[in-house]
Amino acid sequence: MTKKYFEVNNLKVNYNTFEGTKIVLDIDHIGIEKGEAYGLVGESGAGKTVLALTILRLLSVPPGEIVSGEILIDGENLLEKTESQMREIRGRKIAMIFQDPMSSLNPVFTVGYQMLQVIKINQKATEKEAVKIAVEMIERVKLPDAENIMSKYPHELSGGQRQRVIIAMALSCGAQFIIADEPTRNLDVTIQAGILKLLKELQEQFNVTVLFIANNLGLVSAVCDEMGILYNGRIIERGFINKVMTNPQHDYTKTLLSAVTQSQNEKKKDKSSNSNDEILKVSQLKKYFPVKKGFLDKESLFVKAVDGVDFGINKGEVFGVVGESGCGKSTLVNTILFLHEPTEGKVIFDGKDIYSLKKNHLRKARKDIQIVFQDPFWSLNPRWLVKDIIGEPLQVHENLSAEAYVDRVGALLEMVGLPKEGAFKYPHEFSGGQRQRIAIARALSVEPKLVVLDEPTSSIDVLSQAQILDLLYELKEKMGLTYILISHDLSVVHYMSDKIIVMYLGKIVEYGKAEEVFKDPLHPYTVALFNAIPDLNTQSVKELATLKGNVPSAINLPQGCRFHPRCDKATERCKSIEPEALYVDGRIVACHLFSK
Amino acid sequence: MLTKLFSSKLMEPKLKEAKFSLFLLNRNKLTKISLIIVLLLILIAVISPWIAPYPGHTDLEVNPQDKLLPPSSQYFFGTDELGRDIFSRVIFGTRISLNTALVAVILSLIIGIPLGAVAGTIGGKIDELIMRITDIFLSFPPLLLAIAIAAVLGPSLQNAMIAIAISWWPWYTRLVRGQAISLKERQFVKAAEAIGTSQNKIIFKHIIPNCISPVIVQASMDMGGVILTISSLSFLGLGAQAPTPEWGLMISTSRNFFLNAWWYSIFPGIAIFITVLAFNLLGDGLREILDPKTRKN
Repeated sequence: MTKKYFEVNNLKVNYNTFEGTKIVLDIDHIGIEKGEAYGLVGESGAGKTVLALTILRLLSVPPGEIVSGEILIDGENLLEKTESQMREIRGRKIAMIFQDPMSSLNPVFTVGYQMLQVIKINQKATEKEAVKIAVEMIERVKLPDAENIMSKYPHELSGGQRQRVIIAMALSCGAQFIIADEPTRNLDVTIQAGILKLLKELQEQFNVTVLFIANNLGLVSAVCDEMGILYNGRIIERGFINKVMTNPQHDYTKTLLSAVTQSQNEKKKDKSSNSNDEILKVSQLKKYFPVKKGFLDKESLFVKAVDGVDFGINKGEVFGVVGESGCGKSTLVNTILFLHEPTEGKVIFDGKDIYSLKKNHLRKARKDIQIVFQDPFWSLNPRWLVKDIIGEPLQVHENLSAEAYVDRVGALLEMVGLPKEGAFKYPHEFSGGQRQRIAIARALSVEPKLVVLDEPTSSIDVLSQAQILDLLYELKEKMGLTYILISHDLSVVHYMSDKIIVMYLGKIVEYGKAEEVFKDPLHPYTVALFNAIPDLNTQSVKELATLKGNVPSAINLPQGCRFHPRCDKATERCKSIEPEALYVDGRIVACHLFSK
Repeated sequence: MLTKLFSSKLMEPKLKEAKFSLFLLNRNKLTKISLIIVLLLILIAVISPWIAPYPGHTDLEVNPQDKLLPPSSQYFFGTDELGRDIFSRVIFGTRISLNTALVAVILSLIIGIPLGAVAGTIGGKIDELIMRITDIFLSFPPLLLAIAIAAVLGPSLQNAMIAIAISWWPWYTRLVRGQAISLKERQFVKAAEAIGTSQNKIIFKHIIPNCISPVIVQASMDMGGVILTISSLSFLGLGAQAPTPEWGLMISTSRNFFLNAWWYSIFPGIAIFITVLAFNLLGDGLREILDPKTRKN
């Protein structure tokens, strides 16, 4: 067998913890040809990041221990290098792009200073040459106005810009091999598409080799040529993307694929269960957060997080709220729940005006509206036993004897598919999916009418995601619940919702039946959003839509239509006049394209 | 039967946690040693009446014919100017120091933690009020405050304890407030709010239990500091009064005999040194156990 550019052979890595030695990596072979992109897919805990750190020899030892194996790059074994040799290789030959770009840039220095430092050390260049290289690299990663970017501090850049700067830094040292560890995990979909395109371009134009680590099959299939599936530290399936996707061999790959395809297809919805009773009515809801400009400045500015939102939800519906981060989804929901004081507007829930309720009535009303939060790692008190977490709403709203209480908790656990014994464990003993089940059990313990699902699946693995969605759907049917589902993951919303709203900068841009909106999105923003996400059918990143620029700040909103600076179809009218909500084919769209 | 089920099941996770703490403790030698020293000191404090060879010497009994004898097999640490056994007195001093320090720290915790949690969680005007009061108390040096209190109430160990508690609680308030501010943005607190849990319950059941770890670390480090302060107060004559066998007081008296009776001041000094060092090391070690972020691998 001929040697490839990058190879991992028989790599074994152990972790020594107090519970004993654990094998975290046991990889027989990974081979990447020069200039190829290789995708590594696995759930959290599969060992993806450990592999990346091991390659760079950044794994902390102990608790880690490299037992055996070799990592070859250009025929050189990285595991035999000394620490000072490794320092030469890191950055100059291999560069890593981390999940969180903020943590890899030093917040107290400007981006330019940091780039120049790296270039001067690595290329032994003079100040002038270094500046030239830096500008060239920043242009290469498609950031406009390189000089301006260089004079900025990391916090002044957006997530996508930061990630580009990191890539520019990697390239400026002449790195030929890039390890990208879920580089788009914290980014919005439209930004994500841009980064993916960039990586692909670099790989094709500059013959850079990429090891792309992801937890999402769609991303890998769009970017990579070959892939491997990592499960419990072992590569259980490998091959060309098409082959793996169309003809998976291992059972795990099959379930993984079916989980993805399932959520891409629309669920067989039983429309008849929806009644016409309106359970929640939101009218002209506004929430502004004041920001003081300076100490002496009397005139305060406002972040218009939610700016005049109207909608109604019928009993038994799943109401989807879609939008990128910063569009006001979470603020909207927190304001509806009265966790934030509203600036203006009215919310009628079950015939009651929430904002005019007295404190003790409000507490009673809260029994009927429950919320499931995004991150099950933060939404459960780490110092409480599961029985107390699930029972918290019961303790507040119902008077139960100790025995009835334990019975109820046990029943709730079984309802969400967890063993009864779990009641006497702490949250950290459960996996992400299981913790989300606990959070669901807590929300349902007092039999609410409306449940808000705030990104219920965004921080858990693909496999558990599908299971959680099915569980939620099943519970809805059984208990006659109504859901508000917030997500930036469109497949989740598509799978679950009856009606959706698409939000951009605090306003609804499109509002209608989910199937219709997904089949034929009208607003240019909705179109871009829908086309930015790679799925299994995406053959190349070129099919993905990207939006130019960044989301404008919610303090200085653009005049006219809020989307016009990033819209391809913007006209003069869009720049001056804010579009009204228009009724188009039973939908509401806020865009001038559809007015007469 | 229900209680039985509860107790056995409830103990299981606690046991696992305890085992993990022991594992971490085992990895850190310095912490282990300091913990052993602290436990030993506590043991000495508890059984001091039985192990001191001359328990009477810690009280009013004097023995002038044996005054200022150097260390020997009869008097391990020698004797003082009244012929009292310094070994017995140092051992009894352990009890006094630990006792007063513990009471002073617990008093400040009782005042400091709830105030900090309330200030941090509720915020606004209440926060402002509590924190300004805290600032006022922080601006008094503890020694000065103790002198003032001694001047009003008369010098005694108890008053020194009160003075220390008064000047120490603001530190805990600050610490807990900072923790509470970050905790209240956590989703589990938001979740409790959305469920309809009352604010009191949120403060006492959600916020305080979650900010207790750094407080424990701080408190165990403060034990050393408080012991030192009590000794200083006694040294200045503002704390324990004769014939109490307090370390600081002993050193204070020993100054007159410093040149020809080195043992008189050295042994209580070593006792203070070991106790304070042990508590500081223990605090550092506890931080490592309780806060995974500072853990060395």
